[in-house]
Amino acid sequence: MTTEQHRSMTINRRRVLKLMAMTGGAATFLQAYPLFAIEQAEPGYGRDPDLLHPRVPWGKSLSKAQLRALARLGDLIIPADEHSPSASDLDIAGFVNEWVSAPYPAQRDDRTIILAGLEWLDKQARRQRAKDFNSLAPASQASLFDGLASAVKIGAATSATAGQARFFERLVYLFAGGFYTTAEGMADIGYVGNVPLRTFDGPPAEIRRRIGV
Amino acid sequence: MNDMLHEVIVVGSGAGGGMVTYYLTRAGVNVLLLEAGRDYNPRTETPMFNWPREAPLRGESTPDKQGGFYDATIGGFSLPGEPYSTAEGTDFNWWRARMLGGRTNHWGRQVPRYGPDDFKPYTNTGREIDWPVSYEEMARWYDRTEALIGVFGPDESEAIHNSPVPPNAIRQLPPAPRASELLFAKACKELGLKTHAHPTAILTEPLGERSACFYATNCVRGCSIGAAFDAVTGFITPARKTDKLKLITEAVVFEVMADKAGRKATGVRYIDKKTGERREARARVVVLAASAMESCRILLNSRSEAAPKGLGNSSGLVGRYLSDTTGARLVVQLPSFENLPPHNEDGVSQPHIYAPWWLHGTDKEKAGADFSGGYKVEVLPYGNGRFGIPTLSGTVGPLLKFGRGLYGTALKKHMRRYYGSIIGLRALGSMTLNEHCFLTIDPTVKDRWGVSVPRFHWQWSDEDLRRCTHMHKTLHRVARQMKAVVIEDHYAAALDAGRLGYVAGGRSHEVGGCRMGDDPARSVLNSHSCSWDVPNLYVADGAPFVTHAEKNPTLTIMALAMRVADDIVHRLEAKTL
Repeated sequence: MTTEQHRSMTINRRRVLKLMAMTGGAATFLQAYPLFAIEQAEPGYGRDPDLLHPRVPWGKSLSKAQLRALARLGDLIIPADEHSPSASDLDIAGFVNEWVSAPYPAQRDDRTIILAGLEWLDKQARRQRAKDFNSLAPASQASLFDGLASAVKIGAATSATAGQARFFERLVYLFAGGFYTTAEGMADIGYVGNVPLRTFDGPPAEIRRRIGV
Repeated sequence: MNDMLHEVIVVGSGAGGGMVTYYLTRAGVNVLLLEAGRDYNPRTETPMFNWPREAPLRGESTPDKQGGFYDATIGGFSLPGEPYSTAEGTDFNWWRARMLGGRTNHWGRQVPRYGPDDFKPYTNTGREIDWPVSYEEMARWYDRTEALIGVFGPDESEAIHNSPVPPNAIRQLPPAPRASELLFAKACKELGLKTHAHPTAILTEPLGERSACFYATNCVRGCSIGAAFDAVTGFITPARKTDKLKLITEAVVFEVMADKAGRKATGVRYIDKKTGERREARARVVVLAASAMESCRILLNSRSEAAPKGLGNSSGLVGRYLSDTTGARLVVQLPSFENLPPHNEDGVSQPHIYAPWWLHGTDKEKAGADFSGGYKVEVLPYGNGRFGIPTLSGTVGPLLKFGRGLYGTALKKHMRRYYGSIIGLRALGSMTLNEHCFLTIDPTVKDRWGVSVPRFHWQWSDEDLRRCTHMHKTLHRVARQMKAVVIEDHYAAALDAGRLGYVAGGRSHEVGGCRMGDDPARSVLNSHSCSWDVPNLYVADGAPFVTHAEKNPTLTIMALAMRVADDIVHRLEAKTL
């Protein structure tokens, strides 16, 4: 391991401990599960990557079971409707895999949160006499997920709910973020830019009228 | 090549160094340009139109690309092997771009002029100290700079006191205001703040071989069509077409060589990054434009028996009186912008209009604005509202914060309803001169080549706190007038606790350290940015700044650099160099 890699790994473990300290109550939630630090730090894309031919140089690290669970969670977050497809239609779990497998500190923090959260879901599933989260009936999966959403509203009331809220919010951020940066997601919310225009003339009269200018 | 005596060595190829290089080579003067970074060509390297989803991590910021994957910068706040230190109690973020063209490859292109009260604040307003040049003297350099780089701006009749604009004969027409900016302008007007187009170095009509903007790709990526100004397109490429330029990239200058008396620069020493070797280059004239902090560092590291405090530093002022732009911002939600039909708000990558500082003289006194200078107010660009391609942190993050706990169909409905209705408001302000903001050379820390690094010392003043508190109140007033709901205010808690809530250097406007003046005991450079001590040594980046107005510094850097080059040409002809 190079000094650089050793330093990144050391920093990662320090960062994770600091993260746990910062999240206060979430420490209990996260501490129950082993630190999911990547032991061998891979290189990132470097300081001067080719912007016209981007590459993801790090390996994707999630297991099939984890990806399956994430795909299910992703569809609870972003289901298909008449406007746009679901997260799994666009393999947003694949994007989450890229994210949590990245060697950078922020992504490693998210890896810890996401993997600890998936472990927690499996534990809840075993309490319901299922083998794991993936084996639960869809309605039970949805119910567990809804419990996480409620934790957001309760907030840091207990250490458990703080950790659950953090897991929920990072999941939603990554799935919604991955989704709304696809062509289908952008079409859904109505982004119509990134096209060349000869002139920029401002909003049409109808919009000016509606906003009162 | 080591033995060759060049006419002029220019250190750094950014806004100042690029301008000096352009002007000198086109005037027939031989220039050796040394650039610490690699050669770079926005024409062939810029990712125009590329989507975030094509980039790793949807293009989000990482330690490798701190401005985001597609940001043009090769560099960042932290550079491997190029550390800097800060004194205890000091926070300082030092952005460095190691590439041909420097920070002009990703800058915002905002180019307001400094006004009469900015060059003579003491004479005109009784505060700060005067520059050795007046606006009247600088006007023609601004004219010539703007004509060269291409700017859009308001009709000259719209200019308000102390915010001069390009003459109509020079400026190009501005793009129309965005929907959010129209509402902003209306609210400002109702509050007594005038708004007009923001002078910006982006073409709306072709200029020479450079195309007009097509209002899409974010300028931070660079510009392959030459519409958004950068030093490579505007200065280095034309200079390369003359036979007067020798360019060496990957050359990190660390010292200016001088004669035994320390009164004449003889050349520079640099690291050849490809081999790690230390090399020398000799010249009759040396122009430092390595970026303000770096130029100060080079001078302070150029110590000798004759110049024990560093070259050109008999005043002791090298590295002193550093300054940076102050500021505040809010993220707000506009109910009237919910569920609007899709429309394109991309435009150029900066606000099309803004409210220049409006309180002067007795108005300022009556308003209780007890601080030097002022601040401008704008709609914040980059990913807010419908402005720019949606990203995780710029677009989705704020929308989710505004709807915590939502998922499924409810989440999709939330996104559809609120997308486009969350915008930012920001104020950028001046900074009061402050003897507690300076850099020294760290006694022990060295960079990867064994060169001592700068150590920053920084403390904001009560006057800066008063100015930021005032701008924060103004932002809230504007938000209320726009009938906006404030959803994010990072500055409130800080300001209440007596802090600015902003780390110096974060906006990359750090200038000063080699201030110009009329008195060699109280300045480093004369009114032509030439060293008092070393008459063949100039500084042409942001280091010569005396005070820091509420105007982005780059246009003034370029105008002063053009004066430097012009002075060199005249002195070479008159043989006083």
